[in-house]
Amino acid sequence: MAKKFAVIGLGRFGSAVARALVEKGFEVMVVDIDENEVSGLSELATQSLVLDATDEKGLKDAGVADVETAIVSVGQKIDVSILVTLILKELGVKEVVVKAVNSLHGTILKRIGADRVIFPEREMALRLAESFVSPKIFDYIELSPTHSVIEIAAPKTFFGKTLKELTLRESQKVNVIAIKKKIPIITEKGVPDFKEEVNIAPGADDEIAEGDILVLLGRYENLEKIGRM
Amino acid sequence: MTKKIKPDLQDLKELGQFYLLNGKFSEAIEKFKLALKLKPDDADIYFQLGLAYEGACYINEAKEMFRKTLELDNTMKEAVEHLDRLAGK
Repeated sequence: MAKKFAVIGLGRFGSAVARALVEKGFEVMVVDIDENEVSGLSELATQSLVLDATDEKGLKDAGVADVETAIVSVGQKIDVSILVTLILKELGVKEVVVKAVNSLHGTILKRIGADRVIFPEREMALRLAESFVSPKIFDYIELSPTHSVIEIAAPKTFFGKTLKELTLRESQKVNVIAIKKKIPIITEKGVPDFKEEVNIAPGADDEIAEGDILVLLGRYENLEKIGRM
Repeated sequence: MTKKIKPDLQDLKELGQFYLLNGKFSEAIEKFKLALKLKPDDADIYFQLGLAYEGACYINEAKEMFRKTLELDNTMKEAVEHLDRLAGK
């Protein structure tokens, strides 16, 4: 049986999450106080409710307690998100994921039992900033405040060298998780193009070529050094 | 006296494509740039130069070349596809 989710608050973030979950085939209950927001998703969602999410009885009657994960995204309304989080935990929802607007909000949410606190704006901003710092960094995921995964164009000095020769793990404390290679091809129409090949968990003898994209895991400052190469 | 024969446009395009198809993107960029000096309004050279830049991960330069390709020949569907592909990068 498909995992059940509830998305509470259908602003831009909430509705995007709800749509993505529906697309992945999950059962999704959507809740918002604004009828217009709910109607936009009523055809997609398994259950859609126009409801004030601070109404404990309303949430209970709607069967929110049966969902495995609830995502709370009520915009800038800190008091509402705290109340809703409390209610959801009281109702016994296994996992409550809450969008926070700032660090203090995040701390409070964790204290009252939120299982996961997310800062989408901060995460997006960080990723955007990274891409400006180095146009060769294509993606950036923060795993913890100290460790990240980045996708980066292989620096020139790496070309023609094997991973063993580069000794990235020993000298930079960075692990190469994958190498994405662009393989030039000629299409059926006779036009040159690329095919992407991903080498997951590459071996020590795998060689880096011009145009390769490396997926690296390591401490932020070590990754940054490679980004500047 | 040895006479140095300069490669003509066709030679440069072929060399560029040879390097491109062998994943030698920097060399390909060099040859296509020389080719463009001989024929600055050739949409196909711009397109292939765009591919070479894309191959070498010079995303902004690649986008610029694909845009130029379309300015010269707006029927080149492949240039649109590559621009779309690079839009998120």
